[in-house]
Amino acid sequence: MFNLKNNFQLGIFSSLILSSSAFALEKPKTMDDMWKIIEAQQKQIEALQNTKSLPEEIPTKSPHSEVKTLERKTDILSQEVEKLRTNLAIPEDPKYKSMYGMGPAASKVYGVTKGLSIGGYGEAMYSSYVNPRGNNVTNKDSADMERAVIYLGYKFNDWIVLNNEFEFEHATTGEGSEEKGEVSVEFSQLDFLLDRKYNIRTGLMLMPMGFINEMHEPTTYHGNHRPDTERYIIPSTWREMGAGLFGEILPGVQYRMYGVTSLNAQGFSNSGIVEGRQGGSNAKAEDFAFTGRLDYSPSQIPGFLIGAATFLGNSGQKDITFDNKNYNVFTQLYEGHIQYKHRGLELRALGAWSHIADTAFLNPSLGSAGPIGKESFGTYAEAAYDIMPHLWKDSSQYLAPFFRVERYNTLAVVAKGFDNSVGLDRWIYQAGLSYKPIPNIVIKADYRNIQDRKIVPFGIPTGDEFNLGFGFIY
Amino acid sequence: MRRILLLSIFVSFNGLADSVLPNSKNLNVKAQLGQKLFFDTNLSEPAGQACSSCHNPDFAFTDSDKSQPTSKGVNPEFHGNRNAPTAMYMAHSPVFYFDRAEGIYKGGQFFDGRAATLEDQAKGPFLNPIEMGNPNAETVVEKVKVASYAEEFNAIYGSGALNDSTQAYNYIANAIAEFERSPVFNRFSSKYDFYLFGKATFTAQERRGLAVFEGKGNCVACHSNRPIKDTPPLFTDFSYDNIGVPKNAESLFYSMPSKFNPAGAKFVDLGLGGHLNIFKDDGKFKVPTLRNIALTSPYTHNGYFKELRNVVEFYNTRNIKRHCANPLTNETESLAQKCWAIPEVTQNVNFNELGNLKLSSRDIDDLVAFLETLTDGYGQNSPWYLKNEN
Ligand code: HEC
Ligand code: HEC
Repeated sequence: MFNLKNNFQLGIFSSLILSSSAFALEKPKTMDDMWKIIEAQQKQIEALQNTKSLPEEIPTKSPHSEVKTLERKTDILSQEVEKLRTNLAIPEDPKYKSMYGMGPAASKVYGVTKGLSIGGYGEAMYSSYVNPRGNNVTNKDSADMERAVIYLGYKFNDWIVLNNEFEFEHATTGEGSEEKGEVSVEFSQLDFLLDRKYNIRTGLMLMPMGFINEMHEPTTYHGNHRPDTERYIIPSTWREMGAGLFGEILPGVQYRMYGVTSLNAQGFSNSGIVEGRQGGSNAKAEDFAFTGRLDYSPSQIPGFLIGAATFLGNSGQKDITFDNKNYNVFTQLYEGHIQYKHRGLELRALGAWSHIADTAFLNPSLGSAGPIGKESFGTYAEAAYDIMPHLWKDSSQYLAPFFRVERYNTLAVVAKGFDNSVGLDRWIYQAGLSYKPIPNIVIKADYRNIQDRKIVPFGIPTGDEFNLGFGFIY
Repeated sequence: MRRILLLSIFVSFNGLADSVLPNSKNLNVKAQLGQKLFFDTNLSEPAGQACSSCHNPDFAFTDSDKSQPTSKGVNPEFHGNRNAPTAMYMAHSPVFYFDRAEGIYKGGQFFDGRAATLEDQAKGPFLNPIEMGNPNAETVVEKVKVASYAEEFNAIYGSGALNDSTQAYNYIANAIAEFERSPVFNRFSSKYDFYLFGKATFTAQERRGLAVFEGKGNCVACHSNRPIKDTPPLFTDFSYDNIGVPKNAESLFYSMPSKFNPAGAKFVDLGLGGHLNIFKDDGKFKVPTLRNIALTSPYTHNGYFKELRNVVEFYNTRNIKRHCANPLTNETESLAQKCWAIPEVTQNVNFNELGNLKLSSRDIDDLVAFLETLTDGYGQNSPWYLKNEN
């Protein structure tokens, strides 16, 4: 999907010491190929590490100058060994390649030989509301450093990898008027890479739902705002505590399945399950959930991906009682997605649907934030096309107009008697432009035409908006 | 169900409440005793004034006499400095405390929090020279000893419960507080409550009003309208604020004898700051609940506002209308002159959360329509009780 030509990156030691020939790899076609490459590289490293300690390696020719250069070479070598010893491997010329469903920058740690890996992303935007009088509280034009994110990964050895994402939202968490942002651990997951087919993951993990939740780096989607379906129906960025398996079970067939802490129904509202996410922050763990995903990307059709995912679990957390009875609030979320990328053309579509039980008993405790939809759905389709090759033949830059249609409804069905007039029931038509001077940097402009069919809940801007922003990954 | 019969006997003895109070069916014995004390007009000096004189159940336990901003005392010539607030839902006010996280005071009883609990509060009015006029606790206990319900004290608090007057006064306060903690004061049966349970439908206007209440109006910043854990919405967070209410020249307190009001016309009510003697809390008053607001006029601590709509209008334009030339301009004249009189206490006025809300006239009508859904008695039983009975 992203820079398929790139090699699997191995960190500074390998790129500096290992000669190019052995690693002039063709693009790995499947996870299988990738594993073979990793294994081969691993062997090479071991071999090299053994030879490095041998002093005879240093040639002993006499002229003065040669000794000088030799001394310099040994210096460099020992510096590199020192770096290796301190396990610090910050790739100076990293290649970005999405791994195990993670974003390209988030995948960097899988590429290092050993030790620390640093990466990150950020996005900032200016939003202008076309109808500022729609709501004088929310419809204020704004300029926001929405996210600045640091990935800090640590590869303990060739099969145990720790990956962390620390996120700073809205630039500050100061006091008083500065108290707008938040800092959170977006994920902190430990991977045990055992076998191509079966690997173990545990920690604070991203739910494997939809396109955005696991891969939300700004260069990977169009438009400044993430699609609403993947904000309100699939509540990105959604992470929970848990453990599970992932891998490539058949060529081209990837899966992830986890057991995780479930949602907390008391956070549900008429704009969806978003505030029910627990995010590993003193999470209630009375109820657990299962989440699983299957993706198929056949090698015969490069650029094609089809998949589906689900989240199933009680979210009452033993807190929803009524007339002495406990209600489980069984929550089901299903999602299907399809994507095709071919010669600058990018097509994407996604559909999601949820069903929540016992909402009649849950709603009163939500107060006027409720009711929660017994059923909700969201769907969108988008197309983009990189026109740069037509404008400027040999450019490696990227310029893609895109168009997206979105339809979602957080209150498709509510329990009998409850008010379904306040919620997010929208058609969104969005058009814009994504420009990448280099693959790591994107400048985005888009216009969203939003058509509401219900009263919009407090705190959510209404009416059309124009957004201009940039994003980067590193 | 036998109890109804019994209760109506209890209630009719004082003649004030001739019908059974809503939600008074299954009161515990302490609360039943508290009810008798609450309505007993013999407990003042001279007799004639009960708690219920200023806290009338037909008006959500506020004063039924709407003609004056503050209530008549035991001597009808006398008037206190503050408007009698509803005694309903006050059982949910936490014990007065300093919230370290937020750096502000919260909870307690009275507009200035000077009583920490309902028990502390109940001991106040009996001895207040304006309100019920007893010189000391013994006088009150002596009156209770000769009341028809005196025997019940022995049954509930042990024989000889009224012998020691200090202890007896505590029991009196406890019984009253127990009554105030009962469902009679905590009805949670407004249209809004039924709406939250899907058992009432809001009109389009009420729905819009709710949206203004939470949105543009920002009323929820202080009058929180959502349940917290198992507690239904209370429409107050029990914090203190100075919303900038002007001085109320119509209050008869200014002309009270100097024994009661040494400052005369210059009297300024400092609220929380006056009680704590802390400058930065001057002018702050406890956020009142908005439940039953349609019944509880006049409004705010000094009864400056007679009309609910005008309170909302004040929130909307306090910062943007000019100051009236005369700081003693009353509510109706201010509206006519398109100005607002300056706040009674100009320090610590909240400019961040209110004063310029940009509400349209329709928004205000909608908001008032929503506030009118907060009156108890829309349905017989609170939808919350079914939920909480366990
Ligand atoms: C003369 C009228 C009057 C009488 C009689 C009276 N009150 Fe009050 N009550 C008031 C006023 C005025 C206030 C507010 C005083 C203040 O904040 O300083 C008040 C406040 C209260 C409060 C606190 C409400 C809040 O919002 O903090 C409670 C509870 C209460 N009264 C209960 C009682 C009880 C119980 C009695 C009988 C023992 C009683 N009152 C007798 C006028 C009266
Ligand atoms: C910053 C906190 C705060 C906000 C925001 C706020 N209020 Fe208040 N409200 C108070 C305080 C404090 C009082 C008591 C003031 C006094 O008595 O001087 C009060 C009093 C009232 C009263 C009179 C109640 C009575 O029983 O006398 C009404 C009505 C009211 N508010 C309605 C509203 C509405 C409607 C909004 C939104 C437009 C709102 N308030 C927003 C703090 C607030």
